[in-house]
Amino acid sequence: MRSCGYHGRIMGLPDSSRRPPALPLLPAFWLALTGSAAVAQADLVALRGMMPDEVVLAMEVEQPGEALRSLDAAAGAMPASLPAALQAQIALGVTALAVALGGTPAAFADRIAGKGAVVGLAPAPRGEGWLVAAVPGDLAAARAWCERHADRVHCAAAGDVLLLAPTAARLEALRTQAEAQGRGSPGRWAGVDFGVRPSGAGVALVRGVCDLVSLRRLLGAKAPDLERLDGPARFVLSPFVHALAAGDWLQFGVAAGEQIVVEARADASVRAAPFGGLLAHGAHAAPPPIDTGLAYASLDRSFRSLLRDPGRFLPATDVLAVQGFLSIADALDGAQSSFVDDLLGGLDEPAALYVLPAAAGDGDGPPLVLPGIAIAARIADAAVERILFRFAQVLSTIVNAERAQKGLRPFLMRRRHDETGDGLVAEPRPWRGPGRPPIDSGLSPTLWCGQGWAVLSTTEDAAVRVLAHLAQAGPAGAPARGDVLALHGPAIAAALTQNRAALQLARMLDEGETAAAAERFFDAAIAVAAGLHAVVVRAEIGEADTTLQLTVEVVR
Amino acid sequence: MKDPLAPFEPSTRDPFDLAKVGHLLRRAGFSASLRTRRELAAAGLDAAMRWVLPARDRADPAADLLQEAIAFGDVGRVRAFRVWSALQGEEPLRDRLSYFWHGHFATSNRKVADARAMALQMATFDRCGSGSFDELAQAMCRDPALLRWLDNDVNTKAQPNENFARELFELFLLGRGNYTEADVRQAARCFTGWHVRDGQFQFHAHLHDAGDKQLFSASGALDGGQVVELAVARRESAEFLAAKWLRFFVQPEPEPASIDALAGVYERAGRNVGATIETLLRSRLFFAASSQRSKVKSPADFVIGTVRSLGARAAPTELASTMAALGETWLEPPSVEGWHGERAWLSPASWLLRSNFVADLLAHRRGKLRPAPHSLFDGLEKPAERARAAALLLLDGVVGAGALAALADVARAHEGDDPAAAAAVLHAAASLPEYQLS
Repeated sequence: MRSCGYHGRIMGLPDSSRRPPALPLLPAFWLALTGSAAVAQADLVALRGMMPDEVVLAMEVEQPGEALRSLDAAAGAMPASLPAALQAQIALGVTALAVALGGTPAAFADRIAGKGAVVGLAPAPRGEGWLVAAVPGDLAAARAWCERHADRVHCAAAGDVLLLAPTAARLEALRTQAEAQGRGSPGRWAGVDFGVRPSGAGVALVRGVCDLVSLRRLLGAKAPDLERLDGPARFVLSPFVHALAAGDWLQFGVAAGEQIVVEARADASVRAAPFGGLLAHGAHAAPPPIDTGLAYASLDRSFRSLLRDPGRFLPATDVLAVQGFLSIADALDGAQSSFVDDLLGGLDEPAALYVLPAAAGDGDGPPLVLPGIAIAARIADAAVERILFRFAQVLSTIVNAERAQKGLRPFLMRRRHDETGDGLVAEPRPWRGPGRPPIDSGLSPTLWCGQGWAVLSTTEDAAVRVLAHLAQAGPAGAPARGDVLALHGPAIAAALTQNRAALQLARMLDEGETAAAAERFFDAAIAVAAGLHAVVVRAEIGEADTTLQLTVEVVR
Repeated sequence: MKDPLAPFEPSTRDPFDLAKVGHLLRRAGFSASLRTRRELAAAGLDAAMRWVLPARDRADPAADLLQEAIAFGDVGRVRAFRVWSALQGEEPLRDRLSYFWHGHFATSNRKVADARAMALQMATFDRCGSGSFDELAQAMCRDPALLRWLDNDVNTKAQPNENFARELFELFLLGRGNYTEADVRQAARCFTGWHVRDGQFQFHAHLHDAGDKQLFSASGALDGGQVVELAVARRESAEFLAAKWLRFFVQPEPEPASIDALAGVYERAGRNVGATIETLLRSRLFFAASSQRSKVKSPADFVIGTVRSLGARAAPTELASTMAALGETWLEPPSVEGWHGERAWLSPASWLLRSNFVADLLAHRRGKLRPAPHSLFDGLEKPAERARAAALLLLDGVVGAGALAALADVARAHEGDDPAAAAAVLHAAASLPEYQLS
């Protein structure tokens, strides 16, 4: 898109001919963006053209007031269970803000930028890098507000456009570019593709683009760099760090409807890069998520690839650690199998992690009941089941020997067999010591194989529930091409409530808080968690781009 | 001093002032805020003693949260829990006595490897530490952590292990030179079968030597409980404990007459620890000028005391790790003899670490310190005023003219309302030689 006649190139800044491709937003975001009809608005491209070229990040909002109202509606009401003191503090803050703004934030946005605004961020100390070009809904009111806050905000009018900046120098730069725009020489941001343009009466939205090349130049040695990450960080974050390190543009948008959706997309993908070898390459579908858990996570990564060729991906110290681990792991099953080729090779990747609520216990259980944590993977080669059980038995023997050395009663190993498959369960012995049982009384480490799945979990209950879920979910869906992390607020709130006393004490010890302050913290944390139906982070690693999407849905 | 343990009677010439309150609260607790110290100085000695003495009718947050403290099964968390209890200061003397008993019945989790057992041992000190010593000693001979620490869980009729019996006499009940090797062998037989199972004491009769033994003046089919009864009733035991209490609470090198007098108090009190210590804390000897600032602060005194003296809050996990860096890792004493303390606490390196700890604390590098240091100097602008305030906060105002002038110089070099200016003066005060002494 070169619609605004900007053809120049300023020395030291990226070539404006670099164009980000159109933003292929995920379905929910797309629907939210195009959900309703719009009124006639300012030409946002023209407003963008007023931004000086030094700006590294620009955001545009077609109807700022509506955007705030939509976000407010999507965020829902304040949770009723939020502590009264905190509610009062928030209410006080909202009131103070309304007094300062002369009304609600949405009404203020209507007055100052009711017909659209573009915000730019340029490098500057002390937060003095922001610039705004807006078309006020009420120019007189906007001017009056600017006059009242002349000590903090510098304003100027350019036709029906209001220019705002934190300093006189910054305003002058904005005004100079606005005049150039008026003469038909818009700045480079007019030519940057902001992706989806809301059409009709869309829900008020924020869209933005970050110039990654300029940002990296500004950051210098602090710019994202995979080489500086340690091994675990490389495994988890390599697609995203690569996208920031190699991409030209990062587009992002915020939408609000039934959910709040924030999506960011960079025009680079790790797939074709060396670290693309860590991806599971979308060969298989990830085990499906479960709605009743606390959390679900699936990473499109290959642990097998990492362990098979650690030197390709990891720093030297981590390579040594991997080699040390493999020398032990390979010995656990004697000469019968290879950990990487036979055990990991017998399981499909990616695997999935499930965090499930602990089974309801009586009041005499441990003061800290951990949720059930299970890892599930599809079995690619039936021979892996025998290897897994041998592995589990050897590990159980080692753990029990260590427990005996500490004077702890060993887990009782039990084989299980039912219509869902075969299992090996390490059962804790009944607690007969003083006080409430220790934390490991709530654990029953379990390996269960059946119906084409292998499940390794911290409790038998979690293994059974995950296997039942996987059996019910049926055949695998589409191959996974990305990462998913899903958190379910009400279940997290219930787990926090169940373990509240132990967690409160942990906070008192770690933060130095009083008992009352720790109690208030968990009152608030539980109320917030209970109010969030789901928080989902999805990453999609395409052939040439990388997309990260955050979806927040509140309980209604 | 004719009767060193005669009660201290405040007078106009020798009042119960801020310095004496500070001395009492440092030795019978872990110090307190300047506000508390001033209030207690105004309220008098009896009120101050009521403040430090264990109160049976007060809620005990440490006992209420014990199960949560051991929930994680992590000794680091139990250690932080003990620091938290001392920081809260709800039971100053109770916490101080538990600290004493931890050094006396020194048990290390490095061998016990059971955070629960360590936490329960400390809870036993909390519960029994200021009552009858007979009961405490009996409880400790059944304490799972101590039995495991001193190998008594492998002490059997077939293979007696003398480790527990030897340390019981040498370090816990009588002191070196007050028993014979034959006594150790006989006592070891008495404790055979005193084992640990499922985290609690268990008597295994089939492993116990039920034969006749000869110990001190008694003979018969003695068991471990009777060993304790016989040992604690001996005058040597009273003198051994009295000397340790005097070294811990009063002076590093007590006079024989003081030891004799305190041993007598202990025996007349029916071997009640709390009553004995109260007599000691009320005594002229305790408040004598020669007793004040006569001991080197342990890392716990320094770290916890600094936070409490500032009237602040800080993260117990951070404070526990600082204490460990300074050589005092609670629940992991260096040996069964505990920490040697006094001059062993100080070296050029540890002095620097102490100073750095205070600097880090005041700069919020050890977690958030609340209230912020500069709020302690509200309204004070002149360097001399700030120097005096720092001396009051950390040293009860007892500093020489030279030190006060040095603090004023620091205040002058760091004028202003910013937190760093206040921190500089407090840091300088905490780096004074006087502040290393309790």
